[in-house]
Amino acid sequence: MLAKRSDRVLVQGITGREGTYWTEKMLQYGTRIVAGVTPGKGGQSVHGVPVFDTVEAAMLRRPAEVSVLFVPPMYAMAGACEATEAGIKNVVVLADGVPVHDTMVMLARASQYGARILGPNGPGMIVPGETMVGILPCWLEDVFRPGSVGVVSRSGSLGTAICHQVIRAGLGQSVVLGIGGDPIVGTTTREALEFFAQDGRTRAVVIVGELGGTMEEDAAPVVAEMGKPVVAFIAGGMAPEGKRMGHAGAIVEGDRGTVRSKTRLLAEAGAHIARTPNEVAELLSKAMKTNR
Amino acid sequence: MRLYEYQAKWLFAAQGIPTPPGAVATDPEQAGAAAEQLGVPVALKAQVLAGKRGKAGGIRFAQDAAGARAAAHDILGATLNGFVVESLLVEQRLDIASELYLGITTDRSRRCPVAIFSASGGVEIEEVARSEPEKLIVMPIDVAVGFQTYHAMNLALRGGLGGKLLTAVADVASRLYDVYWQYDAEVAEINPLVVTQSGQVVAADARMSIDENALPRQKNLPKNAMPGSDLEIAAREQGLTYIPLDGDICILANGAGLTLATMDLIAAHGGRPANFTEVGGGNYLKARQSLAIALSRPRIKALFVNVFGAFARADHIADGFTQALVELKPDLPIVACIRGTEEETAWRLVRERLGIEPYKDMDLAAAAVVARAYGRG
Repeated sequence: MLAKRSDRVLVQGITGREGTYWTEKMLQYGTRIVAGVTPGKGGQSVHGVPVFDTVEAAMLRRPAEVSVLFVPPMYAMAGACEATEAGIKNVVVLADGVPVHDTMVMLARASQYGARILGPNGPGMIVPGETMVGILPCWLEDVFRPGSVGVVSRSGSLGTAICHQVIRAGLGQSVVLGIGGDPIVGTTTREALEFFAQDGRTRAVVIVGELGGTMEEDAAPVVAEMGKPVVAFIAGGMAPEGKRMGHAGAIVEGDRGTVRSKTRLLAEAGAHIARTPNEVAELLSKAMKTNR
Repeated sequence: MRLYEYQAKWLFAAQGIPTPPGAVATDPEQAGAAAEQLGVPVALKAQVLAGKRGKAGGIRFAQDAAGARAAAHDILGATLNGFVVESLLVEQRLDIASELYLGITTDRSRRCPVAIFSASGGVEIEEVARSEPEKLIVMPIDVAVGFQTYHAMNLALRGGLGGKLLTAVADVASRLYDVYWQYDAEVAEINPLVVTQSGQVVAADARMSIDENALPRQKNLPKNAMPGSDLEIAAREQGLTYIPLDGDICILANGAGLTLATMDLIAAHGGRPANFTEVGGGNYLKARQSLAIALSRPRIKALFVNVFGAFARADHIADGFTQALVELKPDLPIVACIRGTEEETAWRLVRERLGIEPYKDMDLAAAAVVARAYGRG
């Protein structure tokens, strides 16, 4: 799923302020960035990376397996569709504020082309010690270290804080997937767990969720079957009732979506539920010792 | 962003969905004049963004202009489910033969829009979903193809309709999808969709909510539709999300997930969070506004800042909120926990500008702020 060390990465929006800043951080970490794209800036270079006008043009000269988008939210749909149509199978969308209709269009396009989207509104992903695609502070040694814990998070800042707890437990991460905080995202908690279940390096999993939606509920059956210990922290137990999307939304989700329903289903499936971020470290150490 | 019924009906009508002739009134005289112009009898409906309006007394009927004025006098200014009624929708009263339900909404689990239809409308549709789920037809929509006429016909057919009614309802359904798509709606819903004695299909009520992420490209939408307190509105105008809570420890964190977790953490240590304020994305420089809003409430006992900044860099966030606090000079204990990109610079700013030692462990920091807020530390 998504980037490996050997994967070549393309950066869309590479000449922008954030694109330039994070391209340098990714290169320093060892990510194989082979090309950048900014319309109208073809022929330039950023930190030694050649820039092309379109993804198609970049793919002709410098093919890549992964693309990461540093583009404003209103351009994310076009950027993601451009990448999938040019043949990229893994697209990381970081933007916060993408209209949900645009997300639905890019997901429909991606499924047509057999591509996977990570995000929107997430920090990307990291295989500690190998590659980072996105905006994770990969250089912080008490946050990311190679190891055997798979982390899937709906929140960037909270996910990073939880990764620090993994290190506190004396462990490290196999893969950290920031799946994004939007109502609809391209890679779900369930899909991340299915990946971790198959992944040889992953021996335990941490789910970082939050109230709203039903991704954690939908993932519970995989927790029960995967045969690896799972620790979950679901944020928002203290939050007031979130906004509902009218009666029609309530019909679709029924009574699901609350922190209580998520933690109950995950606990029934065998996950260890942390009440605070720090408890993640304690539960994880215990679970790794007993392997359940 | 929720729209008022009358605003949603404008959009529906512009798309060719039949709605009852009506007018908005903000005082009894206007309501009386509207009744005369529309022809009696009329329905007068409170324009508030709350459900179960009928049960709360927000819908009245009048036989003449005087009756309309009297009803308007009663409803305007009243409080319905926590909202003050500032306007009414006066409409020709419908001769109802039957009531249907029709809605288009974004389904988070299926990751696509769904069309929902039931021949049993008018009542609470959640109730239908629970007690008679077979009467509720749910059809996922492929956005690449859209909601075509044959989809709409199938929806109404599966719901048990036939003949002229089938065609009329299918027509409304495909227009409703057009409204939903064109205006970046999260939901566009008609309950009830009334069939009149003469066989006309009319949207008697309208409910619509717009994806706030899409507002930059939805220039023609009404701006005044969001409910909330003055503080919530002030925050929204600054591009921030601010939700006041009952507690007394003010929270400033970055990102929705970390803010939610920070609230949980404060509660786990026996504290009471005073607010949810999201300062995510590019909003970290707006720390001053959000702090000014959050600290302006009475009974705040302490401020807890919890930052784990990656994309929004810790030093940028720290620069924003320390400057804000130097200006605002709040007279209460401040505890800050800071991690992330350029954290050393962030720590230095906190030490130099606020004269406090930043925490690096949020659990210890939360324990400290709760102790200090309630005088135990």
